[in-house]
Amino acid sequence: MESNPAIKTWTPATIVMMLLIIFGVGVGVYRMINGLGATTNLNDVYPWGFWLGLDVLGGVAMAAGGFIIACAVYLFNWKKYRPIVRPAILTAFLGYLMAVLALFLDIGHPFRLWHPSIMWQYHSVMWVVAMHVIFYTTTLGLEFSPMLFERLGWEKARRAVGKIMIGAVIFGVMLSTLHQSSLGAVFLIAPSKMSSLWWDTKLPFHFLVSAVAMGLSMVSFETALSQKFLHHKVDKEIYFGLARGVMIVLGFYLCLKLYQLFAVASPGMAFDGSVEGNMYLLEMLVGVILPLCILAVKKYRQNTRVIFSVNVLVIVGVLLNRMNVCLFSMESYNTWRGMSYSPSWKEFVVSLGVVSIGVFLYKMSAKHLPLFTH
Amino acid sequence: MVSKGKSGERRWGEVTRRDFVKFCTGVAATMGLPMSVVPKMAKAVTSPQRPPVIWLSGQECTGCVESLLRTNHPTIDNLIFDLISLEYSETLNAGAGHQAEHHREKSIEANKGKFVLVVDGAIPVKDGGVYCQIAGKPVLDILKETAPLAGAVIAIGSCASWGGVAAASPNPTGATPVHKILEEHGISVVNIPGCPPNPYNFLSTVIHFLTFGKLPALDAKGRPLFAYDRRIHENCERRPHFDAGRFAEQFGDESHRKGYCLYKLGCKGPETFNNCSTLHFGDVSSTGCWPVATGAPCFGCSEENVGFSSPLFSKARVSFPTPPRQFTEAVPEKGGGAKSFAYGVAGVAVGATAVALANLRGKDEE
Repeated sequence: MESNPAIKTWTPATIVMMLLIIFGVGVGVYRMINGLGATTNLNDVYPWGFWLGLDVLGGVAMAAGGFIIACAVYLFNWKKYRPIVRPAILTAFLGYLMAVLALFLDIGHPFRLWHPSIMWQYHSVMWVVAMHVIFYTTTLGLEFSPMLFERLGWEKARRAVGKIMIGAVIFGVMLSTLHQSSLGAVFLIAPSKMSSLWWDTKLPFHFLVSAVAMGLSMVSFETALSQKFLHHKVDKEIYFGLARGVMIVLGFYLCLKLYQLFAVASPGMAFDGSVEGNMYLLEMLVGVILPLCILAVKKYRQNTRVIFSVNVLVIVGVLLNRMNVCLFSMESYNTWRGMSYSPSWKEFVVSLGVVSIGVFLYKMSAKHLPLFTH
Repeated sequence: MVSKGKSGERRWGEVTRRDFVKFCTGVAATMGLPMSVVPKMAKAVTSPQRPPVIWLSGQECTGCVESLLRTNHPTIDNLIFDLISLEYSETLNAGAGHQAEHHREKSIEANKGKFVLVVDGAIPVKDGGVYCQIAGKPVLDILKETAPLAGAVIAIGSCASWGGVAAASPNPTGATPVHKILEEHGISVVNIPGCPPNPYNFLSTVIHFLTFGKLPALDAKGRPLFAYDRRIHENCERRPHFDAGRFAEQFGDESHRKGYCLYKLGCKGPETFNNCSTLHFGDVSSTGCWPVATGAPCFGCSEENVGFSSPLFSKARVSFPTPPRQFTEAVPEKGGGAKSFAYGVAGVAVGATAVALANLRGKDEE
């Protein structure tokens, strides 16, 4: 098959992305030579900053759509969603690659990234996270490979992968549920640092459920963007189905969070005017309550324009949640200890570069690979 | 009143000069003032123009006056005869009835703008303040007439400062603290809360006013900082037991008898600002004459919304009960504060939300 002629390689947006990538790579190289201290504003009290909060925690949550849609299409045989399974898997694959790239820059010794796979420290949640990333990125590579083989015309390889596809998807679903939740489990170590508005023994479940809501929204969001900019036509029913899914999952998530608020924290903490309280309210309002209010109206649930807005809200809300858990929930404890953090411009540049690489690769895949064939 | 004693030493009333300077030194130390102010203080206190004091009483139990009567440095007779000129006090008036009331009016007229007004007890405001009347007149009206003419207003005791026991729910008489009544007249009030407060907190404030002509530094709630800037918990003699996790679990149990921390019995020391743990009561300051030393949990008498308000045996709110694992570096590292970053992120989120919500109004795309 040929490249999609309807998609132009060089558009103004692509040029901006290229510039961002060049800057990002430049600062990335600077970080490799001069180290974290010269590049970031991280310190001993804020060892995890913008990169971890947005690129890794946020990026992995965004990638959750991959396993959900793969599960729906390959395991439950919900044929309706077949047109979006390839974009969803590609998004997840790119999301994980970007997360690995950010992680590579963020850990103290980047070239020891492979250590956990050989030196097992199986008492550590961090080890679990590392193994999940390794396995799941490999699995996603496998799920993605048919597109590549089709493009290259490698029929044998294509059929071989097709035979193990179901197994790979099952493995991927298992890994994803474990991985999304173990990212939350990482924070169980910090009960005294984090505000109990977020910290709870059920934090792993919160991470999993919010990632599912985010994943569904993200798939719907990017499908709408593909439809607009990359000429990918899909049935409206797909949006409606995804919106229903978002509503159900968010409703469940709201119950979890309310239980957490009343049983573990106390409602007063959210309204005491502190940074934590304000960020908590904003997160819940933008990511959960507003979307639920809008989706509760059936007319809105069946309007793709409204659904697009709701998707933006959910994505922003869950990204806020990850930033809150990673950074702002520790504000009062860390401030009390005299420490402060706000990212340096280099951290922003690298994050923008990483996101741009992801978007650029997605676009190139749409042009050169059979991404939208159904 | 200055005379020569038998030993030839100068005396003020019954006080020897040595005792008197000791008193001034003690007061200066209580307020954390340098020793150089002691002579100034002695001069101010012994000046022939003794500051006139009008003492009004509202809904009170006389506990504050009683605790003041028990001071030895100086004794109350020295205080009211030699140091200040107590013009009117219902407990200590020599005269009575019309004579006393007449003297109050005369004194206020004569000392306009100079006298110190001390109030103990809450002021009932319900039904025009009829629930506490003196000489047939509501104390509310007396206070409103007197306060604008005073040089300084001091509310002594928790009733005058926060309402105290008189204002405890359901507060049938509408008992109101003095500063609430006077704030609409633009008159600021020094609060010396406590039930009763340590008399030296009161005396030190008065003498600061005499010496410097102004009030000591106050906190946001009008309390003198020299006495009310730390929580009782912070200097408590039982604090090591708290830090080590040794608590009395019940009154009279083994741990209680061993003198362990009273936090679990409802001690409100962790949320009460006062100097009880460093300046004890009854003029026996080194022998442990204060509630916690005797095994009684602090009930937060001097703290607004704690004493007479929160349950006696409920646990206090403790901020940061455990020491941090790592300690703050002397010079914080770089970075401009996560707070500004947090609100930056919040701003971006609000912007995205606004754009998304604005998008709702369009029509469905085909």
